[in-house]
Amino acid sequence: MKRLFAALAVLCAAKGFAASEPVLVHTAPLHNRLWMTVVSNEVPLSWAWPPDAHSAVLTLAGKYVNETVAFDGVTTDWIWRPADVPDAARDDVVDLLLTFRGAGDEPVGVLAARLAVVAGAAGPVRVMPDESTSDWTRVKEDVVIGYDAAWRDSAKMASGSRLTIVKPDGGAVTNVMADVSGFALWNVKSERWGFGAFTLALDFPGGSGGWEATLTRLPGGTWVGIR
Amino acid sequence: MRRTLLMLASVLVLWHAVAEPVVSQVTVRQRWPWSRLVDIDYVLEGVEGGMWDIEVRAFDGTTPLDLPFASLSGDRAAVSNGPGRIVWNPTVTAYTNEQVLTQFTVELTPVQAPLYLIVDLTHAVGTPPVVQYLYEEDLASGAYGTVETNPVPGVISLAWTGVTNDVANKTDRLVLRRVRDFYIGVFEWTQGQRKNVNGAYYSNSYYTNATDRAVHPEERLSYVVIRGAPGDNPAVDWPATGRAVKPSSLLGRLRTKSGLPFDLPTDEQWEFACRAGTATRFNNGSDDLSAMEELGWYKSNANDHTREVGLKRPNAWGLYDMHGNVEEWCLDWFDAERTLRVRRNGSWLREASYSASSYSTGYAPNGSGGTLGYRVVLNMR
Repeated sequence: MKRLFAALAVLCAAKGFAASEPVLVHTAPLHNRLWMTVVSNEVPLSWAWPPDAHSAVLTLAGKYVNETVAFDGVTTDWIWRPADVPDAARDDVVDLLLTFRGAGDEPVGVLAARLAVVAGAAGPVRVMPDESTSDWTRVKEDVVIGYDAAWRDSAKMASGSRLTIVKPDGGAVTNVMADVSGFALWNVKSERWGFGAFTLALDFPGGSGGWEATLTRLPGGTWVGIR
Repeated sequence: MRRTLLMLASVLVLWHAVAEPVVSQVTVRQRWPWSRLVDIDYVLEGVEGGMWDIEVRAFDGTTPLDLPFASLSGDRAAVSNGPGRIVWNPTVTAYTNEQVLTQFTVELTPVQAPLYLIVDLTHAVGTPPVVQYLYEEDLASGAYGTVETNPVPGVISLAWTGVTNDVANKTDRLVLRRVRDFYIGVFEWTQGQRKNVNGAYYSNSYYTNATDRAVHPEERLSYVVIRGAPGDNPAVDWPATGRAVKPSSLLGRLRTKSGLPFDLPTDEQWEFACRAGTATRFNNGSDDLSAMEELGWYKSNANDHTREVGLKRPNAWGLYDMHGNVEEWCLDWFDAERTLRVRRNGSWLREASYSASSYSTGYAPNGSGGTLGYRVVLNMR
């Protein structure tokens, strides 16, 4: 009898409608640090296949990633495994470009995105259990500088963002990005950066607000201080 | 007891199998990381007649999410059997933008499409809009006045003619009829409706008495005043800029007040709604110019000015003044050079032939005149 009632309940409940399986949905990037950050070694990429596309090519290009994937025929999902490439445990910023092509191999659509791979997202990472250790704030190689949160009000009218790094010798390197939120990769280990005090400034052309930091790099390690 | 329950189960199975459409294979995925759009795919079976919509209920875990009307597009209205895709834009849902939805799920249910949508225009801006849907059974109950079925020979139809009995339906409310995958105003947009949305009557009108002008169509309005212009910031230039309108335009204010993305009809939508299933010169099934006597206000019967909306015979779907009274702006460009926007219908100034269902002409978007009005639509796709 119980089984019969259960069957009736299922029939009543299921009438007409159906539900989906739960999925992760990213909402607005400006208040969502996960929006453009890789958080596991299985990164599901999804897209809508244009009706006039016959093939597509996906390129992933970062400091440590250089990968090309071809899709012949309708494909709407692909899983990227960052740890399949060497040194993926290090920070990186990867530009993704998906180009759809028509029957004559002409481009019929392009999708672009930028993802940050942070150390530890795709594999083991060293964890320092004691905050008192001098290694805690040490940055030795690459740094992902993310600025995807808290800029909504001041930066919403901006046409993009600009990160300027002033070297100890007075020279400056400026990175201009098309978005008001995103990531920049700073390869601090490069010899051309030298040692001493660095000034970092982030601002938003066309908008207001900004962010500043100073960093002092010593031989054998880099120490970061926020101003 | 057991036999009774088995019979009940059999009835339920039969009811489940034949009575109503069924949705299955619901999948959700975000076009990540390229876009925030979320595709909701489904398969619909069992539609055998009538007009059906897909109702979307969303949750984060067990917490219900309120998805604004404007955040959904795609195959959610006037759906047919087979696969469909509804697209949800999470960025329109401001209150969920602060977080990641870790357990986002949807429930899709096929529901009978309403016949009418009624929006109360008298509530204060910032308070929740008051929206009412009317179904065929509501009208059949008699509570809303006269209903005519098949008022046009050979066309399966239903027209709520009792809508004209309450002046508030022309001034304090916006009554729209469901047509295919959009709603369209039962009446031409009136000056009374403008007063409710903009706070005051437009200064320039043939009528000066408030009681008179409230039920007359709003005229002397340019396309630019209704929607906005390419020179605005942000620019308004359909179709290049999509459904965007200037916030301080008439449609912008109506959107703010109602919470619903009203717009002008496209040229195609206007004619589809005007004809209501007919293929003749006029929407009562006639090709004769004399049909205008019962259908609308034109040069020979209007006495040289606009007339109260909703006094002539409606078409088979209950839309009034689709022939005559005022010309109506449509979204589209009229010419390849993109200098003129489409206007449909004739007017109180023109001969009957200008009011034919197929008649179309163009006018400069910043132009206005005493013959130019409009009616609104609400798109479900």
